[in-house]
Amino acid sequence: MSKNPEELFKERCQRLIDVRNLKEPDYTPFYLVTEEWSVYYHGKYKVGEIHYDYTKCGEVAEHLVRTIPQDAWGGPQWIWPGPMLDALGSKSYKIPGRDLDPNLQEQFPQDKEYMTPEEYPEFIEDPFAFMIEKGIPRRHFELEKSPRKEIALAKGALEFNKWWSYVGSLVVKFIQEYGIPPIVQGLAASSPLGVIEDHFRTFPGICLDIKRRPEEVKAACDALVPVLVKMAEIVYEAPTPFPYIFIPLHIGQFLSPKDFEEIYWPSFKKLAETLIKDGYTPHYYAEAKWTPYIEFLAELPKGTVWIFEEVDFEKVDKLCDNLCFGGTLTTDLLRYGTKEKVISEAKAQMEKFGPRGGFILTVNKDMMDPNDGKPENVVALAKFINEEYRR
Amino acid sequence: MVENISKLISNLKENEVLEEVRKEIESGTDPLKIVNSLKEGMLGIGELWKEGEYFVPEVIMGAEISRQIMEILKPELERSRTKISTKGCVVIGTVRGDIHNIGKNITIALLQAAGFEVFNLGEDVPSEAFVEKVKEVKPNIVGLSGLLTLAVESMKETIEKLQEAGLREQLKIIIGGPFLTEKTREYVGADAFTHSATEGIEKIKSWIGV
Amino acid sequence: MANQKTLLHLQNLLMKNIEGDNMTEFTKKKYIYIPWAEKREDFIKQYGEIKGDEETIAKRWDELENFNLLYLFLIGTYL
Repeated sequence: MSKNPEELFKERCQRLIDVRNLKEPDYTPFYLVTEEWSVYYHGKYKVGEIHYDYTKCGEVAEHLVRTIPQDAWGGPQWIWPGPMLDALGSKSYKIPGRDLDPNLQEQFPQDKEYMTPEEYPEFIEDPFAFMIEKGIPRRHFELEKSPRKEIALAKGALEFNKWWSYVGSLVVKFIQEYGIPPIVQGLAASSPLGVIEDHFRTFPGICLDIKRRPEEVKAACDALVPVLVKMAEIVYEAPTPFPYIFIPLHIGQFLSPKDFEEIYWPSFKKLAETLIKDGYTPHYYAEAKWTPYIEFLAELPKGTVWIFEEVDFEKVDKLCDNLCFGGTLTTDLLRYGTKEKVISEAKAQMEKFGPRGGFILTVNKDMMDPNDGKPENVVALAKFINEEYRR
Repeated sequence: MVENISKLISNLKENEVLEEVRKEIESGTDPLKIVNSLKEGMLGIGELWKEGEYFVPEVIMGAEISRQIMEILKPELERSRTKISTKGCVVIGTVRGDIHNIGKNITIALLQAAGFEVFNLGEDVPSEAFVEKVKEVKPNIVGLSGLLTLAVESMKETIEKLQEAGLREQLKIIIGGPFLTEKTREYVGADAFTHSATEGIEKIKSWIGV
Repeated sequence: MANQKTLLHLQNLLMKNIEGDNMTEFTKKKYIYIPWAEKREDFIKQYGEIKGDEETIAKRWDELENFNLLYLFLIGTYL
């Protein structure tokens, strides 16, 4: 029952649309989002090596897509490869081969504040101007030096074009040759508070801001919403309707319910509502523990996808008939479980949550490390789903 | 009043408590009394965190207040050559390959508040550095911290190196990180694992018997 | 993507060297993102028709489209 790529593509897109609309699909969609894990799985190259060689990135990505059939491609190994970070002199990323051992994953140490608390009023007045005119030069070595900065910026832009054009060509290739749509069809940096945390204040910094100047933090989050809407809606002609916008979340879940409700949630909800109204699908990676905030999620309009790292799934199922969720496969299971256990768990999950419509079988983490899963387990699971379960 | 200080700290009244500490120092209060009040306040914060009243931002605020108070007290303590007694000694660090430190730093603040002497090796710490420090200060406890899954292998390697150096037997080793499970604990050979600073500190205290 | 054109245009923008009726109005609003050039009618609705002869108009649309790329890149450094 070998289908051609065109048929496969059509089926898979329909699955992604159905679950987003909470309609039970023909089969539960299955995909993984992998970053460096795909490099370890491929086995031929070091992570640091392929940061500077896009065709090797493509080779690794194709290997994944070819040997582990899925309903979507989780996207390239990273957003910013070495050459662009070098051109700008990025201070924010530590990349393997350059700052770290070439076998490791890239890291985002968040070790410096790029905005002082006194600058909140300026940020609130015009966040985009602040981001471009102050944020970018502060976060990049090469942009501190005049008159080189214009050239550095132009170089960075060219590398950016080069990389994303290349990724674009991979998207087309995977659609045409394997019938697999990309799951990452747009990106939003994070929640509004998450963006301020990541790129301006750092995690400890913003925690103190929340305690010392909560109104300003809230105002900054609210001011950022239009900018993030536009960021997310820059979508190259997406091959599917309701393009999936990849949004990692890593700060809300550390807040008290009071701070979550007053500071984090209003702008978060506004961003989600706007994206959905404009025809997009926020696809959240909700890191850490989200059970205390499930009641909030029930307020969102239909059209969001939530991949949880750790949550009470039964509670989500019960309280949130408005959203599609995933993340029931843990890296713990994929790493330490047997093939049989992985398959039986996956089957049980699909049987339990599949009928609700809004369910995706996927891993609770963006896979970045060899310890995020044993290849033979992942391969066996994909084989089971495609060759046995979907018969 | 010195007694007020611990309450002001656990209520996170930053400006009031710093004002109070300065007043006390000016009026000649023994800095050690203030340190004890500070510790009580931090322990109060730890309790509130355990009970689910306080969350990470509150704990970070508490640690920041504590840091500022210790800055004010440092010259006084040095002048009076006061040595703060300790319950036990902990060597802690984020393992090789991982550069995250927030959980570890909160843990250190609370450990110090609980009366432990803590040696912080920093981040991306190779196993050899752990071995050397353990040889030097002979701690009761070693804490290995990490945020990313890659830390697992580094934790395993560090524990193996401590074993090879003949140091493992006299130590209790605890690993900290959100992704850890009983399976990882077993795999790396640690005595305990934890997802939270307060839970980890309870474990450490139980080992010391305090 | 028009890499050579983009490079030149970026250098121009960075030297703040934009002229013209609508462009002045447009740059006053600063870095406003426009949907892809196919949605020109949205731009026209908001800022009015671009004035000038055929060549000028084509050049302006070109600049605006390259401006999109600049926007995309700049905002993208926050991802």
